[in-house]
Amino acid sequence: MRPTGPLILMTGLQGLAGGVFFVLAALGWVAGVPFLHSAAPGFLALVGLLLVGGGGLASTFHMHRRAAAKFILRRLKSSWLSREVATTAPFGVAAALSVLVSVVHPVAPGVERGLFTATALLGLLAMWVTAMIYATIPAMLSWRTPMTVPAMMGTGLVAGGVWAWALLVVATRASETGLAVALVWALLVLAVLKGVQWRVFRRARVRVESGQAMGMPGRLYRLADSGTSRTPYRTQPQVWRPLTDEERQRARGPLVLAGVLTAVLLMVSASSPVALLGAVTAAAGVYYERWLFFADATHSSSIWLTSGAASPWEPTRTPAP
Amino acid sequence: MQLTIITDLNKCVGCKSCQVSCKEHNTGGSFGPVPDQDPYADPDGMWWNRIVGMEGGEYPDADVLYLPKACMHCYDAPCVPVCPTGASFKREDNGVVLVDYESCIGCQLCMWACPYGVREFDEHHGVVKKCTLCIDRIEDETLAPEDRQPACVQSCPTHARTYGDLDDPDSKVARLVAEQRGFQLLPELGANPAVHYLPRRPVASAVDDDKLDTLLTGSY
Repeated sequence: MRPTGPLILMTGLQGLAGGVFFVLAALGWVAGVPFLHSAAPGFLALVGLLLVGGGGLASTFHMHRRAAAKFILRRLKSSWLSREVATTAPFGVAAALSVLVSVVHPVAPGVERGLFTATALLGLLAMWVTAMIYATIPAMLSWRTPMTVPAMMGTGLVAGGVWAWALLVVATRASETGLAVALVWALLVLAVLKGVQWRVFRRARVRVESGQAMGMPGRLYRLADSGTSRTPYRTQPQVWRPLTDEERQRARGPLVLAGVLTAVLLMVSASSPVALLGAVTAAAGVYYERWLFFADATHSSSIWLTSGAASPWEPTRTPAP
Repeated sequence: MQLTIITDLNKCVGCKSCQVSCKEHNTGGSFGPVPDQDPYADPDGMWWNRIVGMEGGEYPDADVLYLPKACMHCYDAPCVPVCPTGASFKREDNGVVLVDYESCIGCQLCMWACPYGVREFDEHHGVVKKCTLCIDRIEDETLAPEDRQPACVQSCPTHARTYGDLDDPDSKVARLVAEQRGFQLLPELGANPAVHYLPRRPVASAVDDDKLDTLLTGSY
């Protein structure tokens, strides 16, 4: 489908925020009271709040008629999008409360730790619900797989973790070696997950056969006239022009590079500038991962709209615009 | 009751009169105006009913197929439950799937959910639109009974399209589906579309005398 800025930003920033709060909550338990008494938790919580707020703001740009937004919780029983709003909003409120207790109005360490944990859990819930929006659409052949949720949540958690690590290095001037090592391992696991997901995407492309378009699977046809808008299908953004192998590799290259660079920076960094560079490469990785997730997805209706359907036939003879 | 349209693929000649009459009716009508902001400068606009043309085979056994494709008004319409505001809904009394433009936020999730790619985004109004089965015509009691049918059905010159209640076993559409093995598109995706198509009957290919010997020899 056509990748859109608001969706990439919304899902990307929500994931980063979830990762930041996950690390914050984990450190609250592992590092204990000395960590909670330092300035670092407030710093992390503030950045996390900005990230989740940015994601929420981006989501409003995906709504093309905001006047109807007041009805958005009507279908909680069936719509994952309604549920996303119902879970991301409490995540944002909890993030704001975390900033309040760690920066503005300090409370007992136990309460602070409990709030960070609750925020992290709400973040995980919001990320899961967001991923389920994509994983439960049968027509989106690339997304309706068990890989969508772990890959999407994993990307957010790892990239958000890298952000948390970079912020800690900046705030404490320490190398945070333990966290860095854990994140390198998490990156490796994520790389495996993405590799499997790319394989799933490839299989989804093969599932689209032109014979299905006429109700005769197994018999080969070629699309002569899609009867629709010329690319990029202005009125039907659920289908985008199929990426060529070269374009796919061109988009995967920076993603792999961002992952490798982030891992290298995690292993060598002991200074703020390098840590911040790691945060930048992690964010770039999230951007490319999410762009590919949308741009390379195969929708079932592409059999009627594109000439990219898997077929041994020559490409469509629809004249170019 | 489940209103639907059955298309006989043997009779469809791809003239696109259904496509054009749909556009004409819904652009000029008052219920669901199809946007056509600058039709002379940019013909790349919204159509609720599109004719897909496919080619199959190789010469001399080649054939061409035309498939009119609009909203399938599915029994289990996947576009309905995903809508967060309830703007997409299925009428309980006649099974027609509609969009309430007033409560649509234009998130386009229903377009992703539709397996058939028949929903279109109106970027000027910021909402998703689709075939209404000409609900304004079929429920207009001021029209003569023969006019209370979708514009695409009424305009088909070969009578390839038939409109009626699929749930009524005595209706013409139900009989056509039962007797001529009407099929649904992409049944494996579970939407259970109400719109059916009548399959192409095999056509004997013409083989001239010169080629007959070659073909017969090749068979043995």
